Amino acid sequence: MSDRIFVEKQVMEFYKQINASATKKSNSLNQPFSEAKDIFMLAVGLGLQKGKRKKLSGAREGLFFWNRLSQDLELPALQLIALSETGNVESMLDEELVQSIAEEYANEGIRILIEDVVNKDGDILWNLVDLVRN
Amino acid sequence: MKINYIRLNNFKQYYKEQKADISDQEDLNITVFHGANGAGKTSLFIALNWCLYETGSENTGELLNKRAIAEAKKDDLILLRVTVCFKHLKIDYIAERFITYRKLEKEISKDEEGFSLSKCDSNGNTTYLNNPKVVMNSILPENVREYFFFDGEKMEDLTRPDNTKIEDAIQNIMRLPIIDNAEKHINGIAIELRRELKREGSSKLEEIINNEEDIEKKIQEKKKNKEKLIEEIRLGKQQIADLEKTLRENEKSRRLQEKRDGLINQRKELEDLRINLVEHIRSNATSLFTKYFLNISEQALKIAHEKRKKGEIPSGIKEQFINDLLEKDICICGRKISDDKSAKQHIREYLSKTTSNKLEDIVLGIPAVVKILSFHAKDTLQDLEISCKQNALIEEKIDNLSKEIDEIKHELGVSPDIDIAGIQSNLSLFQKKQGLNQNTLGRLEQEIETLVESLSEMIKMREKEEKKQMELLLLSKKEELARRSAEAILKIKDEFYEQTRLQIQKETKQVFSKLAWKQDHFQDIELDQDFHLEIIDKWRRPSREEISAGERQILSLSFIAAMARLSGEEAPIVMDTPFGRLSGNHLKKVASEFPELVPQLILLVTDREWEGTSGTRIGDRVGFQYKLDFNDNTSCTDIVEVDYER
Repeated sequence: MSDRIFVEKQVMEFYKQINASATKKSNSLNQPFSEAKDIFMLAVGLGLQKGKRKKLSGAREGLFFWNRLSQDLELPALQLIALSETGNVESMLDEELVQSIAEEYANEGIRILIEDVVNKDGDILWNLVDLVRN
Repeated sequence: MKINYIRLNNFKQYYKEQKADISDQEDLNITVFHGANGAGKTSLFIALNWCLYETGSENTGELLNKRAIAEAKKDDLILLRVTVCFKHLKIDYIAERFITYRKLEKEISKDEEGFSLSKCDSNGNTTYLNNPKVVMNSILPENVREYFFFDGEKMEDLTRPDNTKIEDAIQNIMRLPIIDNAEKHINGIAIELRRELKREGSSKLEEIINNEEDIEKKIQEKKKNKEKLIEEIRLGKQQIADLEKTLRENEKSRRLQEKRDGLINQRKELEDLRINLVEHIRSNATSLFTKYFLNISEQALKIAHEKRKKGEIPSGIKEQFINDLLEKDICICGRKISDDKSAKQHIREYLSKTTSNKLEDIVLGIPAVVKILSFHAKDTLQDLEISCKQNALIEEKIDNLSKEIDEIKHELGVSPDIDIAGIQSNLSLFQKKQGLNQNTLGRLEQEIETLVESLSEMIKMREKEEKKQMELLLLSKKEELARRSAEAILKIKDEFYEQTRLQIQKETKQVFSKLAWKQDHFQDIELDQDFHLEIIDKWRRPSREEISAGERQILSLSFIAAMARLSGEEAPIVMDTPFGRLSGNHLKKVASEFPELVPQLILLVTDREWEGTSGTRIGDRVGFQYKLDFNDNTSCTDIVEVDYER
């Protein structure tokens, strides 16, 4: 398994666009996220909400290291997805599986994020707030 | 001075009163006293000196007549007296010196003594003078006396080479010390004036003037500062008034501005609050992935629950437990199974029914994870909702405040804001500065007042010093006058000394030429700058040391006669034994010529001396002749007038 989470190269720029740590002069209104993994986790969530996974195609880029995920919430949450998808508890220990399922959900979710948050008029933060509140 | 008579009372060998008139006529200017050795010539000479100057009687024995002493009874008073009557500058004087003695058993004791000088007017009235010695000294000074009253036998001493009496004589007879004294006196005055000038003439005035100028300069500076300060205060007042006016006129603006500033502050606080709130919203929104995991977490929980229900998880038999039994070769019941292979196999089969610890932990943790996800999603969303509402509210408030601020701005107009606070601050500063300036002004005025007082004191001091300087100027003029006088006197003295020297030289030469018989041998008489008298022989050599005693006597007489003529002192020449050392030629020359050179001549001579003058013209000029008649029986001398045949 890879020690990093991968995303399609074509969406990488969006991850960077809204990540405060990616640029030196951050702005909470347009770069609300403080870490790439926060964007990734929300993208996974949005993919789950849509109920759709999208395999990664084309070139890929590493987004962050797997061990950056918190052991008490983020990693168990991704393991639950694997359990839910496979019905097999053993799948929760299959990190490669857990990782690929999460990447695919995020690959779908990021597109929602791009469309509803990044590309939408207004501040990214408030677009995000509207998104998560609905 | 010309002597009229001399009267003796009990003086030495002159018993009781003895009197001799002295001839004072111009053509009969000689009085001769004839006396043998010891008859009383020298006593008479002493009497004259004693009476006039109380001198000359030293080492000459008892003054009082011995017969008078002998005849006096016990307690009798015996009078010793010498009286000399003389005429000076047409005034008759009587000089009288006396001593009264009291006779004791055998001895005598001095009872009283005195000297008196009286003058008689034409009516015969006598006036006693208060200061007889001083008057007598002014008529014929005591230090001059010896050149007029002299012992002929000692006369030659005057011109001895080692004798300095010539210089003294010239000094005294010509009264040169008077000029010296005058010069010394005036010089002394000049020195004293210079000392006073030096003492008083300090640079105090200059110092005072400098101080005065300094103070005036300071006053001017202070006054300039004062004027500047007054102008500053005036401007300050104006500025304060202007600021106060501006403040009054802009009171409404000020209030609006205050309100606006307050609203701006409120808005700023809300904006700050909103920034925090937005950060909070951001934090919640970016972490709200949990909201989207609720469904799958429920599904997962369900799957896990079913697995547990089926007993698939947890298995109830721990992998570690089975491994421990196999290692120890014991059964669950505690029986040894080391030799029981079937039992061991049976236990090994249980290994396939066990689960790993990690998986078991995960599975067992699922409910907790689901619960955390649920709580997180719920709490975060709730918090987000509240925050969003708060944010909307704050935004509304900010919006309202902005509107209100805009309205005030509109009301204040388009003119730039008046900085009321700034004006008030300036006003406070101006007022504070004004207070300081007022204090400075007060201090400055006090300083000026003090300086003016100092200046006034300084002016008084200067006026006083100027007065002193005027006095010093006067003093300086006096000093200059005294100095010039001293210089003039010195010049006069030098000229007078020189003139005197030349006159004495000339006069002495003339007299000497009349009295000396070696006319051809002695060519000249010289008196040098230091008043040394020198006789020059025909080889132009100084020969004072070589001349005989008689010649020295002639030189002395010449000098005395010259001095007497030049001094203006009309004093008698009294000569005791005048011709003793003179040989025939000299004696006859002196006898013939000398009486014509002096105003009055009193000669105390021996018969032999007198006889030597026979054949000369001296006899023609004798007015009175006396014989000093010594009585062997009484040992006393009577003065008896005689008429000697020439």
